[in-house]
Amino acid sequence: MAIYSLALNSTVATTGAAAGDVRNATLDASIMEAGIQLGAATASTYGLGRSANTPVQTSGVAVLAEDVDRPAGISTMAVAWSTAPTVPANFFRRASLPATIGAGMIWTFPRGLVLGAGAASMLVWNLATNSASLNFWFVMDE
Amino acid sequence: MSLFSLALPSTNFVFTSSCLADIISPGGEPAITETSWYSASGSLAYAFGRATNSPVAINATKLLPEDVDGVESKSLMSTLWTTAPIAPTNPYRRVNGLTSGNHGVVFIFPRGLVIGQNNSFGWWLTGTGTGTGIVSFQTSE
Repeated sequence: MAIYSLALNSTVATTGAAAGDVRNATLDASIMEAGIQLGAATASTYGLGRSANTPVQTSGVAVLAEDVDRPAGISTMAVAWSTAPTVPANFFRRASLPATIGAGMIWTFPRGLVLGAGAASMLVWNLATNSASLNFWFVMDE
Repeated sequence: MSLFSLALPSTNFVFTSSCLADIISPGGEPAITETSWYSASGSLAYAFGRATNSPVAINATKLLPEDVDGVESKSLMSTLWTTAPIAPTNPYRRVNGLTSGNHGVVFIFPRGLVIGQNNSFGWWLTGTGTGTGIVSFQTSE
């Protein structure tokens, strides 16, 4: 097991839609940390939850190894999909952020929040009409 | 394993894609356990990651041992280069600063982010600004 992470920026501000996701097509991988941070001054509400479907990412980006000697990451993150994620039934975390650039939240999962191989994504979900610029990152153990 | 750290002032909080500061490890494989920046100016965006080139530093400074009885660090920080670090396409972290100045951020890596021999990690601006700031790294070596 090794640690991987990646940060992306999402411009998906639409309420009732995913801003970004992480998934692993082939391995059970664990989320150790998730972070969100506003790049535009819009009061925003986000949820962190497991998609109700199996999304298909467009231009997914593989997470980066935190140890240079480890193999390339397998989990991928995306901000666009050919099969869009559908809303989680419930959320692991929710956060409301003020209309301040730089406002953010970091959630840690010391024992790992497990993603099933080839199954649902973990989503950063827009629970309101949110910031048009969202920095988000995941730290993965895979 | 011992801990080392160093904070350097930087006047590089100016140009898009300019590196604020970087850390390299010419020997061994130190791991970054914490990094931070503080900015005197606002409305900037930042990215943290592995340089895509091999920078050549001027006046690089060794990190300081956090245990006075410890050995010397193998890692060096710099804010000035003859060959400047080039920003990665995909960073490990990206953040926006507040519109007001005088703010900062700290990221921790509990299991260590391994630099790799002769690799460079740094903070880059992804927007244009004016001002100065401070960058720090802590390593486990």
